[in-house]
Amino acid sequence: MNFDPENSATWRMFAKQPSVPGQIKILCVEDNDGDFEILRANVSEMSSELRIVMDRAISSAEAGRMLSNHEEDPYDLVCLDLSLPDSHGLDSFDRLAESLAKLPVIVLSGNSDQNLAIEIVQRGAQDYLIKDLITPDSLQRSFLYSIERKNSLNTLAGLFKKLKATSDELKIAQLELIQTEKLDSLGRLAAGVAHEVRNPLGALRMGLSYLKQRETDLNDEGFAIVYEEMDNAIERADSIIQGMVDYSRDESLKLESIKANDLIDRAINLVHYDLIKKSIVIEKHLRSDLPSIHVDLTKMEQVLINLISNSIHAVGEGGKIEISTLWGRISDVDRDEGVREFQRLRKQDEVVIIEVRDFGPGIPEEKLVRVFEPFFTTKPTGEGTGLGLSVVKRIVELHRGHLQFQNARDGGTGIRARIILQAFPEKKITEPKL
Amino acid sequence: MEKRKLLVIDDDVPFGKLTRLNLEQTGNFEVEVQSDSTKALETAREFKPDIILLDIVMPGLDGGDVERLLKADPYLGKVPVILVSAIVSESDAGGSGPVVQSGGDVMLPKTVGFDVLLKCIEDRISGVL
Repeated sequence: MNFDPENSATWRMFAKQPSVPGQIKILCVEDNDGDFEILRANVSEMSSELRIVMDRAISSAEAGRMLSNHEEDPYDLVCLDLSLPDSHGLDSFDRLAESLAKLPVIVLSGNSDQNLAIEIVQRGAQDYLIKDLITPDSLQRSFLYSIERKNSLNTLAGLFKKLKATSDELKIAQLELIQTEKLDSLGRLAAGVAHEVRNPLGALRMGLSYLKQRETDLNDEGFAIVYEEMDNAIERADSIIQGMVDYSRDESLKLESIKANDLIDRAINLVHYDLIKKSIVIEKHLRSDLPSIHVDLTKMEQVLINLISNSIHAVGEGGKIEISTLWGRISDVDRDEGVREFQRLRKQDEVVIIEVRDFGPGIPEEKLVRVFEPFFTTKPTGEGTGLGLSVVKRIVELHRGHLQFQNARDGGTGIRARIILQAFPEKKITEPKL
Repeated sequence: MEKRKLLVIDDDVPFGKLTRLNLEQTGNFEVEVQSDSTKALETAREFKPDIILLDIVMPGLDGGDVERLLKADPYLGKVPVILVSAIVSESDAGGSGPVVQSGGDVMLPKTVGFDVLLKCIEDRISGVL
């Protein structure tokens, strides 16, 4: 063999590249002493610019152990003989596949198992060498190529993963954009309708005001009733329109950090008068160690007021409402409650839960599924707009939260509404991704 | 008491008519209604109102445009304006009553009753608002 390591073509080819290592650590899995000696001899004749440290294992079990022992300081390359005492052929490769996942592997084969070697290359090994035909130059080339190729493949895999993540994010953004555009046009529609209807409403009210001024000229007892009813009708039409505008508005959130318990107190305060008027009691079970939530205060207040108002209506005179706060991790909630969908929160997310439970009659299951439909209501005509819960749901979802609305399952009757929101414990100050 | 002059600029004719009826009924107002916003300035210069009720959403020139033109006029710029909107609701306004926007504009929802409107007009003329 006329091999001049200092002038090897392989070395010249690789030497210009920045990634040529100064030292390569190789694990050679070869039980046959003769074959190993050939390998070692070839290695020693390689270019002295490349320092090679070679460890040897004589079985796939030993190879496995050595690979795990070297996790901190991994090998750069593995040479794998296919016939080992404790495994043969494909089996040798497969057994070590997991430990070898990120490492370049060169398969050493005899003349007769070349096809097998090729198959293993197809399975993920970088190269194969027929033992009888090894030369220092071909060996060196194989080493360097295999290492380089495996590096490229690893980088590629990493980039692909990032690409996929970006692609997924873009898809979501696109869907949200479409949704926003739909809401935009819905918003404009609502504004248009609002304008068209409010003008006649305004005129009606002005007319009523005028008639009222002249009331003393009319001796009709019914007049007072007529006036009041017409006035109420205007009020009601106006609030329906407003509900529609609220529902279609794509609102941006002004987030602030708050404790759920404070939010609840504020909401209760605002419905205070209704509670007293109907002698309704609110029992609070609030945990004192809750992490904060990041919410738009006005909107979340609106959500709570809405849920509490619904409960007030459900329990009636002298009834009872329970409001609780809890916190925990998604998987706990999942397990206990048999809840399956948490689309915007991920398992293991810490959450704060606000629960409003009334002890009224509850809602029959066939009506319960429609509860978030705009304009759907269980109240008699004239009471409520039927838009409350649809707006509530939108607001909670805008916060990337989850709203549950079910009949209570603890033996009693009544509705249990739960708002599940991402928790923000004091230590980590991260902005929720909107 | 001398009657105050009030100009209503609103493309909704019934609203204009009825508002005028109510105001004139009090005996304290002389009311002119202009439903064509492009003629608003001309009418204002002739009528010389003490206060203007201005609708926001109108075809042609909208309330914002008219307001800008009024402000640019050396005399008319000093006349107090109440904006009237059919898009804002009473609950938006925090219960019935005027909304004072940043910039000093005073706005009323269109569906407030006459009582609220009258109070707002009186406050605006007297300078309270």
